[in-house]
Amino acid sequence: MRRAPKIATFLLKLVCSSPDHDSVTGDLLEQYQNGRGWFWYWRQVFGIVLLELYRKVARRPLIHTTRISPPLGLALVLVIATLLSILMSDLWFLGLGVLFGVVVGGLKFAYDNNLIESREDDLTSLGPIPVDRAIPGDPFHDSRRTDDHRTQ
Amino acid sequence: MATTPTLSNFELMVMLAIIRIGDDAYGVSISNEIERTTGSEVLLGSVYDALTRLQEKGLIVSTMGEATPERGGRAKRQFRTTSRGLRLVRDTQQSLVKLWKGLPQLKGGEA
Repeated sequence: MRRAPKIATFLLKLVCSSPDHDSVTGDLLEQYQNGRGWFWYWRQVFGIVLLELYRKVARRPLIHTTRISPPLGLALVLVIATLLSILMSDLWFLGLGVLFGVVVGGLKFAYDNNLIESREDDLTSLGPIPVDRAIPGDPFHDSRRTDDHRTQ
Repeated sequence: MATTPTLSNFELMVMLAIIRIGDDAYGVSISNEIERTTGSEVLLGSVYDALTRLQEKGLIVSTMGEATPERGGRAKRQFRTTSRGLRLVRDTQQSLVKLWKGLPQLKGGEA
């Protein structure tokens, strides 16, 4: 049995970590075992990782610190990656691989540590209605919070 | 009122590939089917992306299949179309046929 490129598989695991994505890794391994080359494997991994990152950034559009819009953020990452890979043209493949790993790791870290804000969270975290805006007799109004407010 | 989902060109190809393959429709077989019929290479990532979108639209459903040693012990995710998906494919086909019927004959690269 042939051994698939370890770094590529690691990148795939880093980005596509949910159990749903096990099947994706399995599909790639199956094709690799059926005679596809390492270049094909790397190309597929790049494609999957980029699409997955784009989906994650598109779902969590605002970054706390800089408030960069998702298309601009993605474009910046791609421009920086391209420029650096050209600068390191003697070892372009190694350089690009390392850079890609750093970018992917950074985004994954930001994603896992909630450094990237979720639009869905914004919409759902409305919280209780303020006391002064509560409608009298509203059955859904949290009376306990009202009492807390009065005691303060 | 619920809006009717639409299919992009590639999503339609993926839906048709799933219907053609039948029971054993999963990432690799769908990709191979599209490559075989269109003659152009397909990136697996774009197939998965289309499958995710189709699943979110409720046009396909997935189940976990068997794991094999050549897949590193990982299970297959198999897909099949829902009745809603089939209806949408049929409607799309009818619309496309109507559009083709309205066209003058294509001869020598000119309409």
